[in-house]
Amino acid sequence: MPEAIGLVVLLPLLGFLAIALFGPRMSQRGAAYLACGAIGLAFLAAVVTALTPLISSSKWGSYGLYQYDWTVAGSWKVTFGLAADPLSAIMALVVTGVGFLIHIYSVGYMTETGPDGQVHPEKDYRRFFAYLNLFVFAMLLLVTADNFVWLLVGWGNVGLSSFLLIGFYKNKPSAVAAARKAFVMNTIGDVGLLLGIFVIIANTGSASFSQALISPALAVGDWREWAAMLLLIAAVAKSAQFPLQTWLPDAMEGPTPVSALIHAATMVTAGVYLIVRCHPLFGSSTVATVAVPIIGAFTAFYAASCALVQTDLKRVLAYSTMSQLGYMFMAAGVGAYEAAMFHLVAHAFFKALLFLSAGSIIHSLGGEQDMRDMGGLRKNPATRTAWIGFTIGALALSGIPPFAGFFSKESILGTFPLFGQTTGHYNPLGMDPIYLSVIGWVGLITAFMTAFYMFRAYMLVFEGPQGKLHPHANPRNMSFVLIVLSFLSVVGGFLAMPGLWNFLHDWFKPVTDVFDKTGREIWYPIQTEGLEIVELILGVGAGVAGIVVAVGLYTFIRQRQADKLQPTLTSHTEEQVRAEEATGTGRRQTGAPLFTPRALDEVEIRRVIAGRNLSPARPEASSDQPRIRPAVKKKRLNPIKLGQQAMTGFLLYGWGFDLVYNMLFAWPGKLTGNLIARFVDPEAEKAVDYGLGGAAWEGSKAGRKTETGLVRNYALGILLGTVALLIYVVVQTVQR
Amino acid sequence: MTFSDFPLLTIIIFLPFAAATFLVTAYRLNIRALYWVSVLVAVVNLVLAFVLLSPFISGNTPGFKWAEEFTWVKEIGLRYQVGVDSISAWLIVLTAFLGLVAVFAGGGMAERPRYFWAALFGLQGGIIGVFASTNLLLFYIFWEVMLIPAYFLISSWGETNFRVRAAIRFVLFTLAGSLFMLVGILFLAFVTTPAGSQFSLDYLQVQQNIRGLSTETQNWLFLAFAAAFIVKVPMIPFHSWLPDAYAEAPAPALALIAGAMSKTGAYGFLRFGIFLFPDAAKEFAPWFSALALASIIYGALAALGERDIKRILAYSSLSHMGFIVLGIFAINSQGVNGAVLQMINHGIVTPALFLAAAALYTRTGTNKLELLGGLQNRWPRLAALFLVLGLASLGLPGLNQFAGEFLIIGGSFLASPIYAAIAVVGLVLAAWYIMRLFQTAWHGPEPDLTQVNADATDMRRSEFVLFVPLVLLIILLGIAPSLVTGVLDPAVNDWLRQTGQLALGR
Repeated sequence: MPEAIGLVVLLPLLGFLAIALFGPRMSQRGAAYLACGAIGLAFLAAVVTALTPLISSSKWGSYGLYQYDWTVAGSWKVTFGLAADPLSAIMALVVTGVGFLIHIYSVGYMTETGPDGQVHPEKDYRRFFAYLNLFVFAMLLLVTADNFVWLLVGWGNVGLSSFLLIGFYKNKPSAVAAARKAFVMNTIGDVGLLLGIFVIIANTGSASFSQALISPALAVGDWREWAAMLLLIAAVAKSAQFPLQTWLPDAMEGPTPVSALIHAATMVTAGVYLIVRCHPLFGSSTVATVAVPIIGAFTAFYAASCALVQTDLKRVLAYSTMSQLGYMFMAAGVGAYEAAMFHLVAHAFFKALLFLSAGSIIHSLGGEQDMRDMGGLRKNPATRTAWIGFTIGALALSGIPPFAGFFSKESILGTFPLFGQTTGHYNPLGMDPIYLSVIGWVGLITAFMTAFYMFRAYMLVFEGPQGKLHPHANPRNMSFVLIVLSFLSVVGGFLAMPGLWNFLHDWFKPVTDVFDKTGREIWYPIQTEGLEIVELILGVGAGVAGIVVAVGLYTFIRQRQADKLQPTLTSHTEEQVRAEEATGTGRRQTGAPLFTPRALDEVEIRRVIAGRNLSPARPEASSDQPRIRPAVKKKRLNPIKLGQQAMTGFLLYGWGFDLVYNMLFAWPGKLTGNLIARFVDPEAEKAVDYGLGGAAWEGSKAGRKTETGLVRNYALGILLGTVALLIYVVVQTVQR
Repeated sequence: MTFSDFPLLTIIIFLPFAAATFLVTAYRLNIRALYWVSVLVAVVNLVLAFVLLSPFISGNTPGFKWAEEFTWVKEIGLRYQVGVDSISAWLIVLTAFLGLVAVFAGGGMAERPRYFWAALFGLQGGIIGVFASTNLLLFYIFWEVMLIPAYFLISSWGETNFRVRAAIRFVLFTLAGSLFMLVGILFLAFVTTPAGSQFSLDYLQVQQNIRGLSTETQNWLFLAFAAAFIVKVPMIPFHSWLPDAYAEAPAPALALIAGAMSKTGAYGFLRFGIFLFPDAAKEFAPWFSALALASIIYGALAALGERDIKRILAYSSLSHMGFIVLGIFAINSQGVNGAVLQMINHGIVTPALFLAAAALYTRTGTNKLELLGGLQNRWPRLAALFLVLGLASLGLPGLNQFAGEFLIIGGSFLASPIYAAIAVVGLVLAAWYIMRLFQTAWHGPEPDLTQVNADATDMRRSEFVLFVPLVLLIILLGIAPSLVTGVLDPAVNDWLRQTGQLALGR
């Protein structure tokens, strides 16, 4: 039933309103179950919607459900309406499905062990679930709206809920700053979308997809380039692509379920959804077909390079998400919308799995996110499920068969002719095959890097000696969710296999039937014929190679560190070491060299001997820490090492984009604002008060002097006036 | 023009004045009784205003309705002529609503409350008179009448020692502008009346007369009128009175000053600008659009740099009024509809924000942003209220100001895409400064709040009664702005068509 889509949107809204308005009267757990229930029912409604083609295929692809006039002005008439078609249904299924799992997970995650040893809901537990429901509502509105304006309403509100959830720990300055940054950068996307909508309405006369995107105006005109570019700003901002990518790593300040739901599985994919939804527009825009794949490929590579050196587990995953979204952009840019959507769905499963596994570890370690303090967690029974989940997720992300990521990533890479072949590949605009192959190679190199950084993280977290923190067991519902997602990360990939089979194409057929009537072949399906063995081998090979290098390198590094340890300094007791640690180490302040750990100092040696983890990548300890160094050892400048450290810092801080943007926009903006509010306007006010006011005062002082009170002065005035009048009259008479 | 047997419009205009007179003279009555009488009068006026609006809801009814007229001073064309179309009817509804909000919120005024409410009523009556006049001289009289209560509201109930200076600057600025308009009106009265016919400052008559004037004369006349409006709105560089006046005026007075009185300037641009001098307005539209854009950006940047909550809201108001003027000078249905819709939206959101800021002030005793922080822990509901109002103010899609901004920027996009591209920078800056305001006060670490009233509770019942309807309106007009635009659209299109400007709009 297509009408069920209304319930899909409504239920999370009701859940939000119920908790927001009556939350204080509910128990903490009650609010959480209510939130879960709302999303669970919404998922069922989404399933009912998606079953429509089984009941009646004629109703499938309904637009303008629950329609009413939103606003009218002159010839503009914007309506509210929902769409029930394969594209909105698959997005609704992912959002409610993954959303439901993450809600369940959050019930356990958002707890803490109190001083009494009991597990309590965290502070603001109800508020968290209210925000989560608000997010799911907004996201569903975004994906089910049948027109651009309501898409924008959803678009803006997912930005809001993202803001609220990133800044959930509202008294933490870094979280507050990250939330504001995400909101403002997303607003840039919002206004891009807004302007794009105007271009579309002005040229097609409608804001609804079912009219604007099949308009005959799409056949010609420069407006398509403008519209596509403006929508691209929105897509880039929401999906954290270059150049609006810097908010996503900071967004990891939010609780981990939020990162999994909003900043990995659903909201950040909205940009891809927008491109796929508007594919008649993007496909017919020349600039977009060049810009989108290049942005995607660049971001994929950029983010993967940053992920190589991150020390925070969640930031690795954040950059990884950015990178995978880059893949989707690459595919969507050249018309492989099916492959993009496939990767979107598969990625939602395995990236949610990765984040939730990571969250599970973070939770069991009491909030620790730094991988350098982890290690050896594979053997610990408390983190067993997290280990399984993370491993499956990492394998899927690395594109190892038979996990979901293999199929979806191959679908994308298979779109690009790696050797510049001209046959059997999609090339709608007759683009240079060399150009396509360059993008393909970037994708391939990124695949290698992806596998490397994932297994670097794996080695740091799960292998090696036991870290200094001791994990405690997690609530059972968290483990349950990990198992379900692990299962989905395996079977989620069987929807299509490039060269062999493709169930997705049948699913999307109603969409292409409606929107691709114009005759141009814009929608490029995942091909079911012509399996390219060489490309397949290269794709899997890149992943395997990345894994092998990472595992090998980190085993080697650990081995070398273990060899270097000289267990001679045994004078320190555990308490002393602890006291030294309490004085503060410079952790997270500086980047850590990636490949070669620097020479160990004695503090660290002592720490290891005291039964602590030796992390392979610990930065220089801060200067206030007492250090014992052999006097003879003189520090020599090592250019290789220096370059390495510079490179690491460069990558760690995301190529310094934050700094550049601050210098270009944030600081000048604040400076101008301060200048106006504290100098220009106050000075202008003073100028008015003392300038104009003073002039009036002086003028009146001068005027007062004529009021002498002496009759002879007034008589003189009368005389002069009379003479002047007489002269005037005489002149007038003479002239006449 | 449809005349009415029942002087409803006159009642709506003069009921507030009558109430003001009653409040000032009835000094024997108990103050609480007077308060409830005031609230009752405000409610009655709001109900009457809705009755006024009712004939327009059904659809296309061009021209003025509820018109009344009688000759007052024949020699100078001063006839008492009032009438409303759906544009002015909506603005009267807004003013009546804000009058109720102001009186209700001003119930707690400790200092000479009777006179405070009387001044509020006086201001409300003046504003309604401005919206209802269809005679130019009558319009001017009401225009100046507004100044008197506004002056006293700022100078007598202002919050710091600078209140008198702020009030004087406000009066001198607006007066300087409106004197130009007076010259323009007198010129129209004495020069444009065709020979042999009677002096007339009837709006529709003047509209006809103006077509006979030379382009240059029209331009000068337009600029003379614009001088009054540009100060009242205000737009840069004539905004010097605004930050101080808004910072000084008490919040209930600001409900009317920022909510309704600033709209008289925008309304003037519409009714006595582009509808009265279509050719001149078209010629100067790029200049005024540029000024509007400059106001948007300047106000937003100033709000970003400002550290006082009320002054931030004042600058934000400057920025938002820029949007309204931008919409008007797009001179097409989208822009004008959006501008009037935004007058209503802004008239709900800005008073609500000032009142919420006042609610915060009563708890913390400071408006200084740098002294605040982390307050959501103490008063979560007030924080939620601030958030919703802030989001409405920054134009979150789905809340009311977005609906107005959508049409305004859409209209200016049709006029020139460059305008729209610059205007949206204002939206990004708004997101920035509003979130800075919200987060600095409510989030982040809690500083040493010595001045915070430790006993202060979260929102009280009277505050719920005040704010809940405002928030509901914000949401309702965000979800269904067609409730307003559906009524406005026929009138706007009709006026644009009459003045030959609809061809520009699509």
